[in-house]
Amino acid sequence: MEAKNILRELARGRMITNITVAAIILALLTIGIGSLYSETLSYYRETLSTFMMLFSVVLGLNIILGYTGYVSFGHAVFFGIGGYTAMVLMYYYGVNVYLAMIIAALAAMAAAQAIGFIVLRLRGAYFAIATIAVLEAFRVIVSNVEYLGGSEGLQLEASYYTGYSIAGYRGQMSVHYIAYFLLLGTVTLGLLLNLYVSRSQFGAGLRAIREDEDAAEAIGINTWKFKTLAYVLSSITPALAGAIIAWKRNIVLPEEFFSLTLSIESIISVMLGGAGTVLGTVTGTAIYHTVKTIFLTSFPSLHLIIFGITIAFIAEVLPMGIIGWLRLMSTRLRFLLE
Amino acid sequence: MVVSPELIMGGLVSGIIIGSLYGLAALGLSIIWGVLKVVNLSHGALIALSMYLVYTLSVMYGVPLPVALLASILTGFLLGIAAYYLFVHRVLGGPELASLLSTFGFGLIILGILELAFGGIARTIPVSQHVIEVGHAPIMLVQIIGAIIAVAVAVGAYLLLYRTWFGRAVRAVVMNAEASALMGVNVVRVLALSFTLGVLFAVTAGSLLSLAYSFTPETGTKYELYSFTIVVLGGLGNPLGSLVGGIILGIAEQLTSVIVSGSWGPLVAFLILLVMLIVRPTGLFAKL
Repeated sequence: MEAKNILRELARGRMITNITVAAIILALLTIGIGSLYSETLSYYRETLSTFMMLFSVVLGLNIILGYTGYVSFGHAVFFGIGGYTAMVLMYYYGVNVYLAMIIAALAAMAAAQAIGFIVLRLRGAYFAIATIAVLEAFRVIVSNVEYLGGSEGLQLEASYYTGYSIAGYRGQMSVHYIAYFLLLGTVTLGLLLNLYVSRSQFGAGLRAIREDEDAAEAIGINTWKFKTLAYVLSSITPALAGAIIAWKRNIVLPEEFFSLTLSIESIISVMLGGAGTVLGTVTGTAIYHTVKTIFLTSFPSLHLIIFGITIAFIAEVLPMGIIGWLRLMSTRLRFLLE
Repeated sequence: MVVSPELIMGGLVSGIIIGSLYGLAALGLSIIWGVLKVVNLSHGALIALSMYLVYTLSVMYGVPLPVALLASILTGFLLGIAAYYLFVHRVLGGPELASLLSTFGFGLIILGILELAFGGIARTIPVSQHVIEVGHAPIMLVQIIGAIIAVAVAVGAYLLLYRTWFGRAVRAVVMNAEASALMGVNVVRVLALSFTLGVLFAVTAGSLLSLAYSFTPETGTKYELYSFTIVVLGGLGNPLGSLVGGIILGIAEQLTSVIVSGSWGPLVAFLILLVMLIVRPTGLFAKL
């Protein structure tokens, strides 16, 4: 293919991605606004809220796992840090959720910088194991510290919610609606971050690290700086989601916020769609979440087994993910699917 | 709380006893990692599975304990062979993520089955409460027998790897699989047997550990992380290193439990793991 054509196809691919991303955000916004005025949409509001919670973690994970090639097996640690930071602020200091979210994200970024300083020295399986160990260590610490509620967690009083209101809903009635829009904002931010990484020179540097870290270093990429920044960026949306969910559920618990399951679910979603692709994160999370919701309602006790079969299947048959596989099918699709 | 010398002594002794079981479990992970270059993320689930096999046979069906232990170990052996061809063979030589994911998937299937069959309630296997005083520390006889078996198996593994034809073939494959194939080594069989051997060690350790502590399906995760820590402490593919690493971790964990509190024990393991990964990822006893 001629260079000119390639550029044209690439531009077309970006356009397709932009339109898809915008359409998804608009659709989610419409459903959210609709649910304010029609009770029938409340089921979708809740399902999509859970979807967006997972999607927020996935969008963070994709930056470090997808673009940089570092398999973070414990990415929920940032969800937990976000959730607990926000909860401490709300529980002890009565801070409102919006400020708590921002501080939670900053705390997670600082934590990512510190954790990254340790774990980013490691590569491959060693990195993966270290991230699991970090997650487990956080859970053990949090379950043992009384200030953080120990294994009982911290729970907000009903009176905390009196100040919140949206479109005529007040107090606790408004929480589910506000949380939906906050999650939507988080997802939008996550998509923008992924698009930025996908299209920037910074992202090209990350991909170089993924393909061959030593070669990347040799051609003058400051790999340490690049991967640390990637790790820090990857912590933002999980932390925001953690803060929102802590506020929405009014409780934080060590097992639910520093959860290996959530980490694994986000890995499945990234891999299913295709690691290191923007469209793949949406596709993977949407398919995974739909399948999970169906199975959880029909066969609640089978979900671990289904998880397991799905993961093994992806690893053995579809290691590139759906979008990755389509991209391999033809050069044209490779340029069109970002 | 006053920490008396007796308590410290007790912590040391029980650390050595329980640590040798941790070491045996870690040996299972270490052999698979060393030979196949696969980090077996179903390790913990296999350990949990073996615990429930012992439980089912001895508690639910009243099979004598030694028979239940043997049956559990044998099942693990068969499962190991099947798992190699179903979950491992296809992803060998591929990207690291593929083998991590497929073994993790296998582990989740096992966990799912255990959750389905037994739920999350903690189970214990009633064993003889006969106690022996070791240096003023009361230690259960069953645990001592378990530790002796663990040490024997680890020594056996060392002899197998360094004194037999099979061991030589394994080490040859580790060094250069292609060249060993040319020399007439059946590489696939060596890989499959090494994987099975690894699983065998894991389920042996799990079966013995089921007699010492109560367990839930989730328990495996803890032992899996312990095993990683020990492998990183003791170096890859070194049976005696695993044993020593296991004992170090066992002592650290037991002393923390005695001095601080039982629930902080696991944290020590994770801290050791992180520190080791940074300072000396090749292990304490690796030949340079």
